[in-house]
Amino acid sequence: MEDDSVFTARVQLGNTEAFGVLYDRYLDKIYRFIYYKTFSKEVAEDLTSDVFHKALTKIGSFDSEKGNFSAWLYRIARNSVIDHYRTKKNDVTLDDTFDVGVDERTPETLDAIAELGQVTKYLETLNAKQREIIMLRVWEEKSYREIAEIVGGTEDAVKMAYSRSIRDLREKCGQVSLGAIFLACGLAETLLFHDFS
Amino acid sequence: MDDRLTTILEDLYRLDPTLKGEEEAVRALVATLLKEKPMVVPDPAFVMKLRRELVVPSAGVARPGSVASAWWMVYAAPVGALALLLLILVPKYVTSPTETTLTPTLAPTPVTNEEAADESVSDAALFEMSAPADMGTRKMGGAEADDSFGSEMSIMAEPALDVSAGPSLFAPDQEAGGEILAQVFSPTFPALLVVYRETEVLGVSQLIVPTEQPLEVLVPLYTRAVAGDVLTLQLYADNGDGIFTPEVDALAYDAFGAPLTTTLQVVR
Repeated sequence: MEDDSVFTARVQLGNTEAFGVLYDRYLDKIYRFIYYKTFSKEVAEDLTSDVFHKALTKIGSFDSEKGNFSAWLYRIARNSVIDHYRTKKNDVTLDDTFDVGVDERTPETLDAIAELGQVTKYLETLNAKQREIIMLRVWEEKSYREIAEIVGGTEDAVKMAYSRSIRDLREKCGQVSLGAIFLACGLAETLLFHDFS
Repeated sequence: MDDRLTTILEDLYRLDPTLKGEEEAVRALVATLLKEKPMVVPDPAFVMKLRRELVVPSAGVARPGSVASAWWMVYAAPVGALALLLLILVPKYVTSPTETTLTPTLAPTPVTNEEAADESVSDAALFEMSAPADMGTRKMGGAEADDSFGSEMSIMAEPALDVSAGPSLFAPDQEAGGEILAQVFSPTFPALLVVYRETEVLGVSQLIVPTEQPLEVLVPLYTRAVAGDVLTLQLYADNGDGIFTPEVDALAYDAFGAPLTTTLQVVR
């Protein structure tokens, strides 16, 4: 499979079909990334649409020597989620984006969360950045360097946050088997939407 | 999943060797995380709609709030490509009368032989020749273009028939499979719709008969279209035998003299 940089270069020269290739590669990933932060199909669709339109508009400023396209796109997605919540709340810090939607959670979003696995719900007992790093590392298989580009910070800081997050999660969930998680973390249900940072 | 699990665990132990002391619990935790990765899938209709917005250049231009940058090239390029295509095609009409016999009734009327013999036609004049009918009488050649030349070009640019509501072709991106669905609007001549993967003919429709109604045309494929394929659809004016023969069935044109062709992506 050809590298993204081949297609970004083509798009920068005006080849929109090349953008179609990038779109096909990243649509699902970006949608999921946003969905995990919003738990709303409508919001995820709106923001995903914004992300790709912004990427298309701004791709002239993308420099493949300074970073890869994937991290650049995820960063746009991350900022779009932040902007989305900032329009509703003025005092949102960058790290709180995952949690800021809590107040606005509707029955639909709560149902969506309920449909996710129990472990996924317990991820919410971690702070926003820890959760984001685990999702990007374990589920999206991103490199530390790319995660650092997406969430900000150094590669070493991401590595440290990642191992600490696993440790925290393991301590919160106790001896883990799927059944044990339900028992050991049962009390966490009431603390589900709080940030422990 | 086992390979992935092992990789993650080795990575974690490298980062924090003390986790090795709780190996069983950490392994169970990571295994559960991997197992419970939520499989959230976007609505296919949304995926296709957004793709069309993004990959069709004109849709992007109209989006409010766009910031002008080097991106202008993306939108200018299709216009340039069209102009270049016309510059390539028009001399064929001018210099090769035999080739003009292959053009369908809706193609721009070829110039006369006298005009064809004039090889000193400037690029600007060629561009004028390729202009849509409603631009045909406009003078675009600047000071060098005299009035008589301009009027000849206006004849050139007029379609042979009244095609103000001429034929058009549309095909959305589609899933992998053994057929392709397209919409053909107002075909005013017997036609065949041909599906290409690059230069390979993947399928040919049954004969499309003239009608004023939009038609949904299903083209069976000789070879299945697979995800990632970019297919080109072209409408040809049939020569009367109902069989596609590229040497004798001419590519059809729309009311503005552009070839009736479109592309689609096989998405999954």
